[in-house]
Amino acid sequence: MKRKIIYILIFILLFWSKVALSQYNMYKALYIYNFTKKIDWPNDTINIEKQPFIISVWGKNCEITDYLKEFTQSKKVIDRQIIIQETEKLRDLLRAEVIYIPQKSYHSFRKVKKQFKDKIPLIICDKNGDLVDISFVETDEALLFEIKPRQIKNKRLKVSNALLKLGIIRDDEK
Amino acid sequence: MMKNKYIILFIYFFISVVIAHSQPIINKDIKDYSREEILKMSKEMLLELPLEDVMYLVRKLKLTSIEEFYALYVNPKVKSASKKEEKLLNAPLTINIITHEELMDSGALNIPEALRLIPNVIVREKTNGNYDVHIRGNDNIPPGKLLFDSENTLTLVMIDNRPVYNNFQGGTFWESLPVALEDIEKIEVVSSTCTSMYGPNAVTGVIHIITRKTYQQKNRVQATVQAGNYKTYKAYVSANKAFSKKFSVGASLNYQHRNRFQEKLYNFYASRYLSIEKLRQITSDFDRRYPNPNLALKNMAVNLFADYHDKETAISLSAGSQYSHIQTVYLDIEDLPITGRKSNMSYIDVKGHWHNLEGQFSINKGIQDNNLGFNGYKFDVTDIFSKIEYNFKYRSFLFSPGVSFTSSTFNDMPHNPASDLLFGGKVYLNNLAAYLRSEYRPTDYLRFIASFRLDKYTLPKKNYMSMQLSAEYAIDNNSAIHLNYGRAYRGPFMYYYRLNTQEEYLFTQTGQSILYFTKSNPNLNLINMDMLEFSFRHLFNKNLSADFTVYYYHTKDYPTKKIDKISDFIFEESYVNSNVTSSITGASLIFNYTINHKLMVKLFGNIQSTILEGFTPTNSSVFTLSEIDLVHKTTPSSYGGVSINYIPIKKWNIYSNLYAMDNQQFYSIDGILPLNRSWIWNMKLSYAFYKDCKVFLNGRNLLMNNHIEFPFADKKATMILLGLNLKY
Repeated sequence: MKRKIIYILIFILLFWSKVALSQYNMYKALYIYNFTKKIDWPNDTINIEKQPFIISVWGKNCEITDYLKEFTQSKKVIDRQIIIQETEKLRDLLRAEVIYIPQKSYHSFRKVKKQFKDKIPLIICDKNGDLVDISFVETDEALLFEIKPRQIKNKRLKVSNALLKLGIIRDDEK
Repeated sequence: MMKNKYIILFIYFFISVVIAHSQPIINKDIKDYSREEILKMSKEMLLELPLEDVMYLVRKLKLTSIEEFYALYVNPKVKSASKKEEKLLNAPLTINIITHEELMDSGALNIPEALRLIPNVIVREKTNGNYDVHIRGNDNIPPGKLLFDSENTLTLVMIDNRPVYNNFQGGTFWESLPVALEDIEKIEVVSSTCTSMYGPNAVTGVIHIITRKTYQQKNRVQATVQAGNYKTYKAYVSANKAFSKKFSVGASLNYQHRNRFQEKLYNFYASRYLSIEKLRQITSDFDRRYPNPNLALKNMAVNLFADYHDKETAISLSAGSQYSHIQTVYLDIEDLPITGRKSNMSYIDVKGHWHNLEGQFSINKGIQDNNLGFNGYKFDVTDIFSKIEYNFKYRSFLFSPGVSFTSSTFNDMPHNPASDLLFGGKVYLNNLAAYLRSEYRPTDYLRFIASFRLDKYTLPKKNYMSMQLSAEYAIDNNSAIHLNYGRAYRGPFMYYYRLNTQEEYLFTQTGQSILYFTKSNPNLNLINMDMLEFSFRHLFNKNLSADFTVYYYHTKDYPTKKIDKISDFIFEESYVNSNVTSSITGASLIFNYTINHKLMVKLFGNIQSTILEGFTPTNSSVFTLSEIDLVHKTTPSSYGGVSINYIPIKKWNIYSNLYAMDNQQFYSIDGILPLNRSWIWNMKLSYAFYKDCKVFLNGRNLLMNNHIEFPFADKKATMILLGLNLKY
């Protein structure tokens, strides 16, 4: 009996351990800032003229938010001030140009997907998924990213060739 | 006009300089940046970089981080093999280490248990938390004596170079060590003879416990609590404060309580385990000897640390006090092998260096009761240790001469009736020594080491010269061969050199009494050992290393009792040197494999054979053995372990280790006792819920072995503990 209890406890703890977090959040924030510079944002994709360029982080108390704020402080994309916001509300997402989804929050984000109508912002995530346009791939030796140019093009955004060269283009998107 | 030109040039130059210093212009190739420079890069500099350069930096950071990480496990820096820091690959003696991080991850509850994670060490648990520790064997020789004589007296344990050897009967009282695992930066185990470097008792090697420096931890507060079955509680608190970059202080407090795994105790007269109720009825002074029969271990200690260091000077001061009470197989006189032992000691240790001059002074003083409930075994104890060494270089030679003085004083008068004194009052044993260690490097690939030490003791009145000769040939940057020869002597201690007793034993079952005289022998020779060792170490690549060692030991002059007179009422005996010699031939193989930064594996094992010569039942003890085998089977013929440290994701850690020993046969005065093969599996799961704050589940002996690992000891049991570690 004791043996069974021990095995069950070990199993439960191992199962919980599936939640992954990256230790390279600072560099991910730097990547995200660089992505915004290497994508053409047509004027009509900006929601409201002369409004800030919003990068939303889906979730709460995410470490990357602080780094994003630090890197984008007084920075602009197409003459718009970059604003970083953490949110778990759909209405905030509707105003965003970029949404970053930490891996742990991806499941909850899927639920709000249906709420998007005409325009879906650029979605960057720690893991790949059908909603995701750019996903980070963290290996022992590098921090890479996968990119889906066709999916991004459907959002009426244009990815620069320089960015495509650096990323891993998903096979199904070639 | 000319003047204006100069003014314009000056303004231009001035502006250029200001701009150069205010703008994060990166004029250095990104590939030339070191890991440290990358980590120090400002936000502005990082923002200036194109994405491809950022990706390159991350790659470099990850790779260098992994390389450093690999080196930490595969080829770490060690110091105890030569008294100077060097890579494990080049260490002249066999040495293995366990770091603070691994100690914490492993879930080991105390120092002797943690030694199961280190190659070449044989660890047997006697009662919950009390262990018998040997390096490569040499245990219970000559066989057939008291269990008390099987204590390992051939290994020197040091805390920050301060010997913590017990001079009553030799060996180490592990429970009386004041430091907890949390205080330790690393444990280095030298498995080669090294008395020429560290003094007597480092015969089979040295277990060097190196504590964390206060300046390494800066301003940090830490607390750990852990609780499990068998009333096992462990608590630790520490705080450090850095007043400047040069001066810092710290304090730590530790407490541990563990109950025994079983309620019965073995009784020699009944030849079986009896309940406490039964023993209370038939054992004289039972409650005095066992005030808490279920207790296995209780200890607590407080330590204070202060460190000052600059470029040329370093001074460290540590002081502390400990109290411990254990019940374990130790002094098996009369009817019960498990006895109580208490210790209440305080220490001060000052050490430092100024340029190439090093010095250390320590004093350890207090009261020890080594056989609770018996008259004669409670003493005032004072141990003093001091040394001065100087290191200098001359061409390709490196010399380290030194002198040391140690003194041990025992006084049994204040604590025992005059009729029951083991030593008859205050006795002392001093040791004055001079030593020289020299290194010669004719080429980058060759190194020769010779060290000699001359010891002069109060008793025996004879000088002893121990030595070590080593040669290293570095085949390339990844392979090295070492050849060692060492001659080592164990030091004298009170029981063999100062004992003078006249005791009356009443055999409770027969009602007969006998006068028992034991005399010390000032002419008893010190145990001495010759060792020959060959090792080949190789780094297959940055994350896999192997160490293959072949060793041979020849040991002689073991002490044994000789009967001087025997009759119905009188029994007289004294210690003499036994004719028995032991020869150990063995080999060890160690692999350190860091598969990636998430998975580290350590695999190690020894196979060996111990042959006794000159052994007959009659010269081992007054009790004869019915079965004698020249192959000494008290030391297992194979032993080793595997440990796996797995970090599935950042906040989780799973540490699992398996330790195994082959069958053994323990020769005691009661005959030959078989000890089963041991498989001990431990596992700790920890989760960092906030920064370095962790909650953990700790399982010990998860294969649920329930046999004894030491004669007449408690059957092992499984322990599950839940703990919390807070760091601020």
